[in-house]
Amino acid sequence: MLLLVPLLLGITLFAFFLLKALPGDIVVSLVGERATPETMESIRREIGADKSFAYQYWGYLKLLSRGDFGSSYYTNRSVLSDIAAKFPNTMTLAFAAMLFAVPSGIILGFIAAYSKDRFAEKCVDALSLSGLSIPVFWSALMVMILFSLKLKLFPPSGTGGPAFLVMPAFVLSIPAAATLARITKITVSDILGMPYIKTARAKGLSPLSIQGVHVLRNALIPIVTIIGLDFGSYLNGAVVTETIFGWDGIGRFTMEGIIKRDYPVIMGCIIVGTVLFVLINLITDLLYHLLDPRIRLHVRDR
Amino acid sequence: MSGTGKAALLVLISVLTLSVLAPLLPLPDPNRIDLDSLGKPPSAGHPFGTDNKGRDILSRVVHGGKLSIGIALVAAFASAVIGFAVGLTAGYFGGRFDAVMMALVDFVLSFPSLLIAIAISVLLPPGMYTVMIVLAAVGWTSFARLIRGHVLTLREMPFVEAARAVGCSNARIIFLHIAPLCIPLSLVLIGIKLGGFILTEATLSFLGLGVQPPAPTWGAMVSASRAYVLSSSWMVFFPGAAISLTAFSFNMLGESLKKKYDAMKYS
Repeated sequence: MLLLVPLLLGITLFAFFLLKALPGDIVVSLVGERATPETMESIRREIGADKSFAYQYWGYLKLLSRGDFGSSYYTNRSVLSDIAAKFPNTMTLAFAAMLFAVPSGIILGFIAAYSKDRFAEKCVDALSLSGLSIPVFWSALMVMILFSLKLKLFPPSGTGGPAFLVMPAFVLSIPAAATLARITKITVSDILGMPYIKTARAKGLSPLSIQGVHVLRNALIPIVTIIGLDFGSYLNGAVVTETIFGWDGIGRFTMEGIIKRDYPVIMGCIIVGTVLFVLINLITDLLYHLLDPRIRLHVRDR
Repeated sequence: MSGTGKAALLVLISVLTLSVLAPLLPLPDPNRIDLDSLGKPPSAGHPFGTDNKGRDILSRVVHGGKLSIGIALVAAFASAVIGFAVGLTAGYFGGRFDAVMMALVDFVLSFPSLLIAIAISVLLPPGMYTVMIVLAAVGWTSFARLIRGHVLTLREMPFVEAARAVGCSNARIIFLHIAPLCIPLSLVLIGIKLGGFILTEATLSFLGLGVQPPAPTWGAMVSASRAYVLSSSWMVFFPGAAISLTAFSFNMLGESLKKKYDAMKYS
């Protein structure tokens, strides 16, 4: 948790530097080339673009410490309140995607591990490899063609109830489910070869308790790690998925900010993304302890 | 190599041959705009149909392979070289350099890679070289991590001790004794990474941050036809299928190389 502050400082500094180093003048792209020099000068002063880099960065940090992300260059609305309004949408999408990805990934992984060198294993392998090979933007468009154009089951794009949510969540879950299936398969087949499984079988435990207590319990740690780590891929995928399906979340907001060079928006999104990411990692660490009490949190051997 | 690995290699060789020989094939010019056949569905004259500017999609898909695969290959090679250098030095010398480098690697590996890629590609003028730099900037980390791990075990081996005992310099030990043993691992890793690079390149092109039009790249073709997806699905289907097929074959090849390598290591 202590890492969060230096990490955020680093991220803001890095992002701020990147954004200021962009080619092209933001003021020109704001008011157009035909504005008078006076107008341009006054806008430059208004957004603080005439000051030195250090001064601007310091000003931005002061703003941040007050919980203010500044306001968008285009809509003049507070970035924080925009993000706050869109954040629940992205979370809904991410959790809906997890709802698809986690069960299907784990089940596929188990199937593959139990059918070693048989046809089912090959099928799961091919399926998970395709899940990692098909670009999200393409599967999004294909799903759109199939389910809203041909089958007319779901509206093609927009934000709203469950009907709008199904397609983007499904698309977002594909790579995550594929990764999860692969990790589950490797972990479970490792565990199945362990002597304690043989012991459990030899002492006559029911298959159900072997699966539940001995296999699943021990496989959970790597699985939970991957679910946590995959959150990064949700953030990645959200940029593309939300843009294509018109889902009004942080991903689309980021993309719009990048296209319009709306610095406060880009910065705000990057910061929120980083905080989110650090928090998810923290939760994953805490879950370790619940899953395996032998892992003690305060012991750090690094 | 397994049967699937061979099949994947065969597919890749044919895709590469086709795209390199594209100018010699009897295909229409990929950039010729034909106002008489705007957005025509697949037919005998245009097996994959035409796009919204009347350009032949089959020809553009075939020509597009060269850029997409070429960029991925260059980026994979660059990542391998950087990761190799960092991994070797960090693993061999250890200490502070190792700690700093591995912290950096951990950070880049765990942070959403597309955000890093977007940040860099916004900074540099869009184009082929920018995409290569972006891919290499994110890609070197996994090479560095794995090579370092391998070097950590190698440097404790008796033959390194022997080399040190007869008075070899550090440079000689690194380059002549350790580096050659890391090459198979790097080749396997290049195979594994290529599929991901193809995808990231396509995604950047799709977002308009990649190679600029009118050059045909698969990602940009999908992006340009996105608006027509509900009326003319063939425009996005074929380029996307080409990306998926290529990435799938690279992943398959990487997988079977890895299996082969693991079998070698434990035998």
